[in-house]
Amino acid sequence: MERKGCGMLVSQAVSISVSGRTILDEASFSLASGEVVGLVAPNGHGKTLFMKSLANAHESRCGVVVAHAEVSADGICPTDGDAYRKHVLYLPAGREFLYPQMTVIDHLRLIGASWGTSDDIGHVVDECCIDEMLNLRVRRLSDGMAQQVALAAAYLTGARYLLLDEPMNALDHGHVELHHAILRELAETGRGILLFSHLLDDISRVCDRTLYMKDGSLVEGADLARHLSVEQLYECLYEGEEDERGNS
Amino acid sequence: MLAAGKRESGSWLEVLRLLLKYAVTRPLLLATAAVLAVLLGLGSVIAMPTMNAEPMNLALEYLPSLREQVESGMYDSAPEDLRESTTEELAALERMSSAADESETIRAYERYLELLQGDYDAGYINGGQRWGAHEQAELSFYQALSSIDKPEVYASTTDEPALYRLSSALASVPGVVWALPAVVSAVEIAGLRRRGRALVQAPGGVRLLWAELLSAWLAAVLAGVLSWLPTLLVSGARAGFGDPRYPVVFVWAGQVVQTTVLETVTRTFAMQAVGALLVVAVCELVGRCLPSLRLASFVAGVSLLLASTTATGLAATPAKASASPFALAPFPYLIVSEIARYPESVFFSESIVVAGTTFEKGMWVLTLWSAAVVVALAVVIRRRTSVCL
Repeated sequence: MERKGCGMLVSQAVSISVSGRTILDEASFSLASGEVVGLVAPNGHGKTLFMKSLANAHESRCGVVVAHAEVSADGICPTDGDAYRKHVLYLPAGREFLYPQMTVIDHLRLIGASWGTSDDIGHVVDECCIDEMLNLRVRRLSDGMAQQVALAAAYLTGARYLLLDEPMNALDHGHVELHHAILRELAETGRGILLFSHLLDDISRVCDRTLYMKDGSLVEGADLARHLSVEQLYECLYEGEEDERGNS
Repeated sequence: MLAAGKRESGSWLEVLRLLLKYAVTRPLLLATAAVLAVLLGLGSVIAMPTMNAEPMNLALEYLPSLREQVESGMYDSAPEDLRESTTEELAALERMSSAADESETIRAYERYLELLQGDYDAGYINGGQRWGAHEQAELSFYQALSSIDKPEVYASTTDEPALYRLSSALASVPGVVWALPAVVSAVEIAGLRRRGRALVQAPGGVRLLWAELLSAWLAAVLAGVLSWLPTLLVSGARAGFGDPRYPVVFVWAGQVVQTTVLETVTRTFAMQAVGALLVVAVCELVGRCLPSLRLASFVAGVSLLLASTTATGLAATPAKASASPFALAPFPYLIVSEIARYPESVFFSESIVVAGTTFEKGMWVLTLWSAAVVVALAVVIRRRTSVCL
């Protein structure tokens, strides 16, 4: 029997509000396995809340209300618990995913053992070029090194849908190139990636399509103007808002 | 790169190993073990007088006046059996006073107590006062002590051999302080599930819970054992390991109970280990039900403090003949030394504990309460499908 939404992370009629301010109003979203989708919005538009909501995170902060009519990954609902968690992973920005006192290799072992992917540790280490930092504790790593470890850990989970929150911010040019290539490779092996970044160059180079958060909706870039680049669309959509924010 | 969906079920033993490695290397847990070690080890380093020799000293203090009474003919008109026993008592005390070694002193005192028991039974003491359980416990203690290879009563804590000192030191640690490593390791492990961290999103549900519980528990037990080592090593180097058969005698619900110093240490270990499991499980449950780790740590700390106060309050009520319903609650067993006992037990009047408590019942009660909390945890985990990121 074919399950509804197979090969796709789907969220329908998602509404998010913070202290009464609507961030998304019954917006719909889908991410097919095998595609890399960019998510673009200035700060304060609730993109992190949206990504967390896809990972089925509950929000303990006061005033935050998240409601989905329906969310599923390959037909698996969040109520399926572990099965959904194995399918969808949210990687927070910075070092939040990691344990400062733990070594890099212990992170990978812990994730490998928890997600059942221990056999792939060596492969991920090679692909992400982190073999020289395996025995270092995360607190001793630079931001860029910690970001590499966080990305390696996310890849190691084997989750079909990766929700990456500003994953390239601290990386140098060489590692940005490396992880662009890895993300494309992951997509080719059937994994879906939602990538949020303020580095619009990342979005335009690695993503198959781009979504913009605007006025409570998720707007497809291609639907707005096929001939405009990500940077140009960003300026068109948010220029006024950024000016307002700057003035205030 | 990894293909999506290529995975086996997680290895929870490996997760357990990694979590345990993490927990036992936390500075706060090691610091807690160090504080406990200092509390336990003080008596091994600093000589503190004990009350252990007091009963024999009191008897020796009585010797001159007894001698004077006998010599003055005070007992000449007494019944023959009293006259005979008094003469023998005087002889026993004289042997105590001139004894060449401590074993002779102890044997003489044991004989003195036996004679005294006869006086009690015959109604010659204090207007017919009977030989009570406490007196019998004291006699049993010296009888048992005489039967070991090198009987000795230690006048100072630095004279006490390792096993004896440890048993005694464990009882000197106040209230539920012994449970601090369990609280600390549970909080450290719970910290791995702080907002955004990797394990928050890990699949594994109840299996991950086992790994977390077991790692926190094993780390707490290891920290506890670690805190015992300085006492064992210092006292061991000074006075040897000691005879594991050294008697521990006490009165429990009106009955004299005789055991050994090894058994009290073993019982203390067993009860602290099971108690630590309950403490870890409660901390985990509190941590899962409250949104912030700080709040959870605060609530867990206050709960333990309340448990300690309740246990102390309950223990302040002298034991009654009938079993108290509190004997089925975990609190009375958290004051472990009151249940497992300690070498000096014999010198105190009847144990002040909740009626109906025993070591065996304590093990069952703590185990069943732990199991109940773990079941509650499993239910919480199964019912919760969302995570806090």
